[in-house]
Amino acid sequence: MKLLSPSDKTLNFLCIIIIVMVAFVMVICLFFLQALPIIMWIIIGVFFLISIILTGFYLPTYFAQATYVLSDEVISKQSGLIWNRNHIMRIDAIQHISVISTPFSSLTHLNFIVFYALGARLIFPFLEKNAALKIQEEITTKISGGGK
Amino acid sequence: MLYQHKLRILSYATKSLWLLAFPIIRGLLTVSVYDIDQLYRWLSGFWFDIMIIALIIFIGYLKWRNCKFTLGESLLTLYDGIIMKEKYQLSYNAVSSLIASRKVSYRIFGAVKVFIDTNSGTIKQSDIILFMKKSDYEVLEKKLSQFLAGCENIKENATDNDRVKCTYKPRWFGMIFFSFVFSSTLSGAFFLATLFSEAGKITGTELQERFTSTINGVATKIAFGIPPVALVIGIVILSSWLLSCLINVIRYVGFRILRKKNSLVISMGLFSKKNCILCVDKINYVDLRQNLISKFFSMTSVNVKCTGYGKDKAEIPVLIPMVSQGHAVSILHMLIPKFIVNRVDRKPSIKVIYRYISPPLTFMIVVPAIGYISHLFLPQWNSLIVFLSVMLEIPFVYLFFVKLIAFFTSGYFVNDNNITIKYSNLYAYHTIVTKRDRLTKIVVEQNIFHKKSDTCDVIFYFNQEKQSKHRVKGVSYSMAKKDFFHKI
Repeated sequence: MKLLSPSDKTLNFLCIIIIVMVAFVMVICLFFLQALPIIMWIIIGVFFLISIILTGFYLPTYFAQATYVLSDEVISKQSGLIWNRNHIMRIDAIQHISVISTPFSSLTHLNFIVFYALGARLIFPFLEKNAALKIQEEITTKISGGGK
Repeated sequence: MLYQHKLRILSYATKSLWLLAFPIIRGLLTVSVYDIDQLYRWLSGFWFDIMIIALIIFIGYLKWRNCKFTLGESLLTLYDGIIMKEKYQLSYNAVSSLIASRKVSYRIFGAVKVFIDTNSGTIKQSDIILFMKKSDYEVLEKKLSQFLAGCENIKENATDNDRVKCTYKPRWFGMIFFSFVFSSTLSGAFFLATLFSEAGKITGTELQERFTSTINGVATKIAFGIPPVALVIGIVILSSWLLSCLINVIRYVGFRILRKKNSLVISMGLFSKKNCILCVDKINYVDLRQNLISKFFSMTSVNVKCTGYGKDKAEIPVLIPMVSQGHAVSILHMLIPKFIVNRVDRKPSIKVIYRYISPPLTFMIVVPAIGYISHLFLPQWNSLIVFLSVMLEIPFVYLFFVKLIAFFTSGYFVNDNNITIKYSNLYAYHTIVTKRDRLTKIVVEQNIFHKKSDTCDVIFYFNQEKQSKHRVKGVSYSMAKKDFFHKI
């Protein structure tokens, strides 16, 4: 049985992106909504609150709780904060696997493995590229009969 | 190498062909063919349209000429394309269903439209659609049946009847009840709308105007105390539903199933005849469907999920149209004995009954409240507000009872070989019966409120072309953990 979890590098990257975007929105508001100060401060406040919740609570907890398990017969993913979901998929039901990598994924670890089965699919997000490719190769070998 | 039926040339041509052809024919009917001057005038007016039609038919002919197929012992090979050539090979082993449609127009010309589907390929339509000659279709049907039966077990001179294991033909009142229960106003309305829009292209708006004025006339005559607008809505809904019911009766007349070695052969239809061959090994699951009325009478219809069967939106993938629940189980055992219906033993906890009944209950309270507020602000519209409030309240009261009963009947059963799930989705009750190896994915979902009561929702995903989920609400989390967390 192999236990994996989303990369901390992705967490840091997402937090930085959110902070930068919120800062950008705040600057835009300060420039263009000076005539409507109440609306300006409401928008700034809402975005600030969202960024605090996302970066300070939601994302760190989500990343700490999410786990991916690869066993001999099944692959599973446990994730979610308010709705805790356990996804369990049979390995022999998998038809094919794809790895999706974003630009600079070696730095950000924004890689996704998608397991396609007949009538269902399962996504393992935020894994290191080499780990994702290794899992893809391992499972593909298993489903094609090479692992027996 | 075989070609499709020549009727395919016309079906390759677009619908606009008919829109062009009608004015030309109408023009031709007004001239005398013996008067050269008149004929010349007609030709000089329509020559461009005639050229366009000739071009459309020529392209259709080219497409037909370049689409060929061969029927091997274990393989269907299709060659298609005018410029971009494609060779498509399909093993009979991969076929999940073969559906032959024989409309009246096809039967006159000895043509059959064949839909072949597998568990992969495009979701919205069949993987291969061929317009075959009847003789070619018979060869394909025979080869596929032999392949599914296992060629070594078939005697050289075996007739079709030798291979039949059992036959089932529903009673006529079961069919009528099925059409009655599963008719939808929406499909009837859709049919009417299509009819009017297509007929309108030919006859102008006259037909639509006449229909509207008739409906208005009838509504005004019989409206006693009911607003005419409400009555018009009622008449349209009722006539759409009756039409849908009639269409269903015509579609499923003569319904019959044959169980051969490894295939189910389903035949149905009065005007448009259909013959469906389903590979038993490719059946994903069986769905025993009920609604509140049929549950009250302990009646059920059995649908089968096999890729390709019921892909047409208007078609229900029915296996047993409408019988008593006990009878359905015994017929199912006779036709597909590997699919065993078990009594569910993992049931929702009484602590989560609110999850079943609270959504309809909320609307049951909200609708009269909105009606009362509207009455305060618009007292002159009182009769219409009362009527609409009552009409809107009925579905929610009905849904409340549906969900209340669903709470007592929902649950799941799993063992090493079989799965039975009972749940309700909107107004329908589903009993899914399948083999454990058809289970693809399980999601066990629990929110913070479920944690207190140690319950969860279990969502089942099965082997099939299109993703669809079956959710059982409020079952014990510890039981679900025991059942699925290590092996599904």
